[in-house]
Amino acid sequence: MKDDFERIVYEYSDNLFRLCMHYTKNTADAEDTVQQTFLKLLERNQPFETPEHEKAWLIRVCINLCKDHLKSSWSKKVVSENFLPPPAHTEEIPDGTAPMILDCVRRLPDNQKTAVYLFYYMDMPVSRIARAMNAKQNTVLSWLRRARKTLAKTIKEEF
Amino acid sequence: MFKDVYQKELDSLHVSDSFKKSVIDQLQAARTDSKQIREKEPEYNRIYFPKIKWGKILALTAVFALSALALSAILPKENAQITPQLYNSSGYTKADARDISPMGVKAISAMMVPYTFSQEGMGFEGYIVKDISELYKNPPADAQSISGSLKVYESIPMSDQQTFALAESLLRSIGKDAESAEKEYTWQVPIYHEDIWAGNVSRKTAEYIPPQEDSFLYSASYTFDGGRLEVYPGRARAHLIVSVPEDLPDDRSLLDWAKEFCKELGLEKPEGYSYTDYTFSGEPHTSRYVYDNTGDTSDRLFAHSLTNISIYEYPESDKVGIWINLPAYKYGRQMPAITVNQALGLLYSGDYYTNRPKDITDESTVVVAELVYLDACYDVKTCQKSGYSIPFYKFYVQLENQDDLTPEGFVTYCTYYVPAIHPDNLQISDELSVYN
Repeated sequence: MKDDFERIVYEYSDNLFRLCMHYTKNTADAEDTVQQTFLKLLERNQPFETPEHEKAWLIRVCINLCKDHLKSSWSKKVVSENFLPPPAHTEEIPDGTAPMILDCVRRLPDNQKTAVYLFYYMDMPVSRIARAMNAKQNTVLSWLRRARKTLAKTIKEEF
Repeated sequence: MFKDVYQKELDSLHVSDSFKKSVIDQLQAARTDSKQIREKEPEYNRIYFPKIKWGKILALTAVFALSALALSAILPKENAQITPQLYNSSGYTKADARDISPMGVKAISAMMVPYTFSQEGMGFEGYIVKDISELYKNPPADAQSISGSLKVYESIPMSDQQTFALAESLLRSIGKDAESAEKEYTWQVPIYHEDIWAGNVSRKTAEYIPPQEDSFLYSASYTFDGGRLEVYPGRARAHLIVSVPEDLPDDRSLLDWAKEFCKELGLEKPEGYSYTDYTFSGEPHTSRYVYDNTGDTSDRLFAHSLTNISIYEYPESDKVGIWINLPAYKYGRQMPAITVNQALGLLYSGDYYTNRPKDITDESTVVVAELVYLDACYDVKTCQKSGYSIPFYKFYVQLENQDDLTPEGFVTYCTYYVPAIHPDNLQISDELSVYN
């Protein structure tokens, strides 16, 4: 069992951390969420069917914990007084300044940015992304399409 | 290339080896003690908020007191009496769907009513609760009582001057004045790429001076001693944060306090309701609302859904926040309505709106239905609401085969919407937008 925990932590920590950084925007909260994700494993009583199942489960738990964190902050409204609901706009990128791609992805709606991360960084096929995010494949394709459109406007390049 | 740069940026992010080792150690330790941990976890009982002492509202200056300790919230008594109305596919026949017929009213030309649902939170509109009764919102009329016709309401834009007048009125109601408040104005400036609208950017000013000719006001904020007010004309909302002095002797519930506050805002018959749902970790969150319970059934349901005031506490500070949804609508027209059973027929025929990525099946259990009004479309270009608010039947469906992400002892419900207006009188575009 020690080997199993060790394997899972070493195999998934970095990628879960990178996923969390799309949501939490600071390393301390991201590390916290990664830790909680692994602790959830203890509450799970059934084994995973396949390595893909294990990966999908960890990703889903991690995403939900990230959203919990955001929901908790939103629900409690324990935010600074400078909080404003985000206006619907795209920030203009000043000429001559190269944008942080990650920052652009972070500004996407949650489902879109998760789909972008899993597709472009984790190289997961759409079918596995759909399973990890508990969505239909067409829905995932739609998220990726909308994300590409938004990102193209923001960073002004085709990819 | 996007992918290359994105990958390079993410490759630079990783946790340290010491973090990984500490997580492994923690998992080992937790595994060893897991039996003891489970035994120490308390039974999850009904939530009672700890008490706090509220001060009296002193006439029009409305001084609100909040002790640093906690809050008490008294749920409306009706919560304990609600019995969920159980529907399942065996209780209805296909004939219900075919039975829908015009109500003898001349068909009114269709209106464009675009709505979509937010994809935030759990990815779809869902509620985690211990019991469905926790979601009961004490509406002015139950879904089962709806028949005949219902009103639809047309949104009206709020001018900048109306925005300032509202802000002054709200500030006066809490004993502050707009003149002495520190002001800031947020504008939306449209940007174009090769003559095509590419979005808006925000600009802030200390004076009411548009940064350029085609910009429009997004919000006006007033910072005063102990709080802040922000008014959003396009969203027809205001957000008020007030800080309060030390507690005064009397106990008050948060809803009672809010109802009195709303009287100062001009509500004739303020009525309050609250409901509770939970996070994935089982942490409760209670939402509290006050609305003006006047007018006919449509008016009261509309106010209950949309033109209400929500209140929330800052548990670790001396502040309370208030969202005020403004009645930026006018009466549109009366339209023939369908009953909840007819809507249920449409639901099982696949004629519904939802952002849950799964369809209704014959095994789906619809637990309760509410009649709600959804907000008009929000135009992201003009940052204004436009169009109509129409009534919907909101069906709560228990999540089948609840996955292991729902906390033990809880149930997840997702929602499906069916317009309550007769389908012959509606034209709804493929994309629907709603902000509630």
